Amino acid sequence: MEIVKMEHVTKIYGAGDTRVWALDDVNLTIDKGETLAVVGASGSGKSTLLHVMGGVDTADNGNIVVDGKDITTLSDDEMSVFRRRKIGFVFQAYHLIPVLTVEENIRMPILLDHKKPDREYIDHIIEMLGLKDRRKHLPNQLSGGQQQRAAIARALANRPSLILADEPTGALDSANGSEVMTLLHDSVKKLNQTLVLITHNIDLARESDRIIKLADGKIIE
Amino acid sequence: MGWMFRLSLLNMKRRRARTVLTILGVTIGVISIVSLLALGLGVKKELLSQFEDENSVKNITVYGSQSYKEKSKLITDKTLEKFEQIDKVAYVYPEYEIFVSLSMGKYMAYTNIVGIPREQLEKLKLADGSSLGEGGQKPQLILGNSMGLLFYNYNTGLNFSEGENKELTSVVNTSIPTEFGYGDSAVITKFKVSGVLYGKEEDYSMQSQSVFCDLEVLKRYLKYNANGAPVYGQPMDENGNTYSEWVYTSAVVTVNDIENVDFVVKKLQDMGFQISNDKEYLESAKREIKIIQVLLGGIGTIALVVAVIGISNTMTTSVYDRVNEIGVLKVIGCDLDELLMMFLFESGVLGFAGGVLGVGLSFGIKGIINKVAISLLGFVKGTSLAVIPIWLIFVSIGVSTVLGILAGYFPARWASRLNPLTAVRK
Repeated sequence: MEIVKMEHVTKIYGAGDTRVWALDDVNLTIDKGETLAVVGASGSGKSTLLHVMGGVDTADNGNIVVDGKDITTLSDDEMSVFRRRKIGFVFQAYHLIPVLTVEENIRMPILLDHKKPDREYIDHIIEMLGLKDRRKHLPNQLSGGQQQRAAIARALANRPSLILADEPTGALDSANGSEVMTLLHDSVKKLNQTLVLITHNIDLARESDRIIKLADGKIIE
Repeated sequence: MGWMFRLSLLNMKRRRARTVLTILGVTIGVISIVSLLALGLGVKKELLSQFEDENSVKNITVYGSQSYKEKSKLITDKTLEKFEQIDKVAYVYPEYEIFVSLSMGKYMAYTNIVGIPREQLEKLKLADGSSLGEGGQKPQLILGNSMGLLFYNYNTGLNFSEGENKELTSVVNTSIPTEFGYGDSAVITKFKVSGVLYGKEEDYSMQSQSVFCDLEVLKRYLKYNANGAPVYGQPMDENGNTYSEWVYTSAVVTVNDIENVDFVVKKLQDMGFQISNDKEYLESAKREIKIIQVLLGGIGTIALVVAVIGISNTMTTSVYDRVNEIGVLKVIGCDLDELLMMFLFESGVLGFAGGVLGVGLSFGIKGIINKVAISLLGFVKGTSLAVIPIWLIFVSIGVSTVLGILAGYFPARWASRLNPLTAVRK
């Protein structure tokens, strides 16, 4: 069953001579439960692909259907609802909210959706990501690896249809990086989630079910 | 929803110094505007206290002529009817004044006794132990509350209050020698004092230095006393005879609404009568008050505007500081209006806290102003130059909260429209 279907998606930045085709007629289908690694040089359009798929940026052309819904037709408000219910983001720079504790950060997407967090499920992810002793800490009291684990937990909190991770280990040393990556993959598999992952590290990419490579806004392999 | 308030408060706590300084700015603004308004309101109260109440402005006193050469300007019952027919007039009553000398022991006062209708007499506020007295043969007197200062001992040079160390009410229910008229027709008699007007001796007013009695009893007594001769105080025609109708000294015309006073004054003047009315004094007093209030309010407003700019500045920095946080919230799916509300709540809290503190401290300032007024300006202890009415408390806190929210609006809108990508881009 396909969870993402992108058809003829185009995204152009700039105008005239400085025009850049960040995505050039991209067609991509991702199945439910699949893990997909996206590789490519800087400026190849990897991040843009992730952003239009996750509804934080809009495509100039083409259709993007996520979990049965064409997100290119959504309004800003509908897009917010879409993001908090269907997408879990993980960034290179963690982007936790500094004044909230680890647990509060993890519960945030659920609160934003005006729902009551499911305690058991939240406890389960916290435990799975090894943050049990850290739940009451503020982000700046954690190591980089721990912060990224908290960010992964936050991405999983709302049981989204799709986890989008943009170089999640980019700011970590290799030991921490591979630990986080293993946890990410394990969690996604255990919870039967779909993962799209951007990475520079070809070794990490190999852990995924499928790898695609981008260059100049096109999928080349 | 709860998360918004929590996040706001946590962020304010994190930037404690900035939060405290902003609130301090609002506090100073509120203090200046509330204290200056309190002063303005106090001055207003002080200036208006010389008018018994706003209603007295609706009363126009019309003076009748006493000369036969102006027969049309005599005030008789027929004239009163004419006054009553003037548009916008609520009611009319006559007054009859006789000049007398009164004595209480060694103290004498030269004054007028004013006869007014019983129903007007009943409107007077009396001191304890006083009454209006019964009809009877002789008029019974009600002394104004300042009359103790008017009774004068010509040997010692002291007035009744200074010399006797007694309240004026101590003469209630005694009869005091009363003299009126000239030469052969001079009358020396005794009138009973049935009451004293309510009020402190030093509270001067039109009434406080008058002596009142029942008009009908006075008329009856004077007619009886004249025994067929011309009645005391009544004007005579060119042949030296009094008129068949009773001629009053003056009439009080009460207008239905303050707005219509000018209209009725004009009508009465067109009829050729001399009149007196407090409206002009009241209006000039009100003009002065307005100038003072605009001046004081203006100074306070400047302080408040500065405070609002302070909030706006704080909110702008707060948004700039948190671009990343705002971006993250948007990416993980925060509703735009909730984001807007979070910042408005924050600026509203700054305004509200400043308002509450400012109003609280204004009470301290008010105390200082009043102490200064008593020690330097010679205000009577217990009176106040600055007053803070309850509405001012609520209005100032409300206004500073609303201004806080407004000051935060543009930074908040900017935050909610921020492109999430710029915020979270590496």
